[in-house]
Amino acid sequence: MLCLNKVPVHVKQEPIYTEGDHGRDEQDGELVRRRMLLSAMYDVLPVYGSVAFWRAIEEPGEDVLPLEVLVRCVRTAVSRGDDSGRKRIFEVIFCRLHVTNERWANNVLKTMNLQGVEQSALVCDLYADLCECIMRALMDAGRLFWEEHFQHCLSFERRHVFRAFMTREGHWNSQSATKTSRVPRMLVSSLDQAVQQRDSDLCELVIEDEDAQKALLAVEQSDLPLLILSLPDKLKSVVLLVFWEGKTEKDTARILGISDRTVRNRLRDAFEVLRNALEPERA
Amino acid sequence: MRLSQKEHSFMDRKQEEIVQRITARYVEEVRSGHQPAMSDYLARYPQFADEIADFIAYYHAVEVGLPHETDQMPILTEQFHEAIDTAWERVAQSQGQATSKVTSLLARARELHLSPFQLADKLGVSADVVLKLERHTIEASSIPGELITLLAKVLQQPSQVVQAFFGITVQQRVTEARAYYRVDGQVQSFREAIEESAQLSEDQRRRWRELLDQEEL
Repeated sequence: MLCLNKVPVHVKQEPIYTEGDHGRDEQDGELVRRRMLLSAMYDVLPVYGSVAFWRAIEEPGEDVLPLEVLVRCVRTAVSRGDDSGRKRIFEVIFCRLHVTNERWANNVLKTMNLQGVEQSALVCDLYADLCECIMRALMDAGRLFWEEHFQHCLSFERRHVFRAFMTREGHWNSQSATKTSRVPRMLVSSLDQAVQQRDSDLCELVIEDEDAQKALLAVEQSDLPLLILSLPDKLKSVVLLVFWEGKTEKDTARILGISDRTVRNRLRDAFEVLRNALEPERA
Repeated sequence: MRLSQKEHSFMDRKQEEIVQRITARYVEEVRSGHQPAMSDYLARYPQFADEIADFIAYYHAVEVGLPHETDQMPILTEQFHEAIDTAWERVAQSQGQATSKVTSLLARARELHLSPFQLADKLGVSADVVLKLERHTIEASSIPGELITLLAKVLQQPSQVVQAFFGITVQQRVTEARAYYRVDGQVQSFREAIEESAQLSEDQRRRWRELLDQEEL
């Protein structure tokens, strides 16, 4: 068996070619090398289902197989209709992911400001939801990126579960909601602090809703992403560019290829939504 | 032109994969200690601006700082074992609901306008072997996975359905099926059926021997 320790997850990804985008030979080369490495690791595995095969999966010692290779093993089990084999591989995968998935579940619940008992009950719900989504994704042979970059696909899957969970638990009305529910007190605790002008360019903004703008500026930078997550999709990029990166209205319009007026309108809409979220907490 | 739900789902998946590849680079930069400019990503891919912004907001709100997998296998507490079992049951249940039943290989082939000979030809076996498979006179556990996969493809059914036809959906049923046919006295292994067949070509026989060896059957 090929003796390789875990393949580093930090790999260059396949370039997304768009108009005006030029290929990046170096990144391409690294990507191809990684693909070949993963493929070689899979190819030298002992025959599926043999004792040696299960030893390589379940008792790898120093030669831990990358999760991407385990995805291919799951798909082999699926194509052979081997339910028990599939379950065995899932168990290995979930064990290896347990620490990160548990911490993720706790992170999500922290944003909901729950009490102890309720939180521990929901952690298991959330964890089960996530496991279910991962199982479905891994069994779907059409989702090839899982075989190339497991960790990033996992982050995406967790995002789906997070959104569904927040909506189900009533913390978001819906993914395309125009109005959000309350934001946790922890998140807006900094609203009473003096407004910090992070970037002088922001002064160029012509926002009618000054209170909402002040409130948003006062939210701590680290809390801003969570607040933005509760916005409707089309408003997120504008708010992120202005309040996360400190871009001007003009720059934001140029980056997104929209007019200054559209930027202003979206900011106004975002403030309206956020004011509903922020004000009850402040009161 | 209207797209079907399946086509929409395919489009969604393709689009999500593109966004995954784009945002993977962003995350890679963050994890390697850089401060990537989100605006660069949005300017480069304005058609995916909403999706990219949503992921980046989520990443910084929830994911940033989470460890990747651990080197040592942790011991899972009972409650997390239960959570995984719950997930497994849900997946198995929905698969079971979505899975139709095949009670006869030949009948299913007929629905697809395939004669027994045509079915045998597509599977790379002879008609007499197909008949033995149909009559369950071949020990289920001796059937190579390759044949199950091929049958599933030819009959346009999930492989679980074909497995269920042979009674090998779960390990317990394999044992039960084996015991039943042994009592019946007519069972033989797939290898025996291959060797015994007078209709199978030498090429086909050799190919199956190789496959059976590979699968250690």
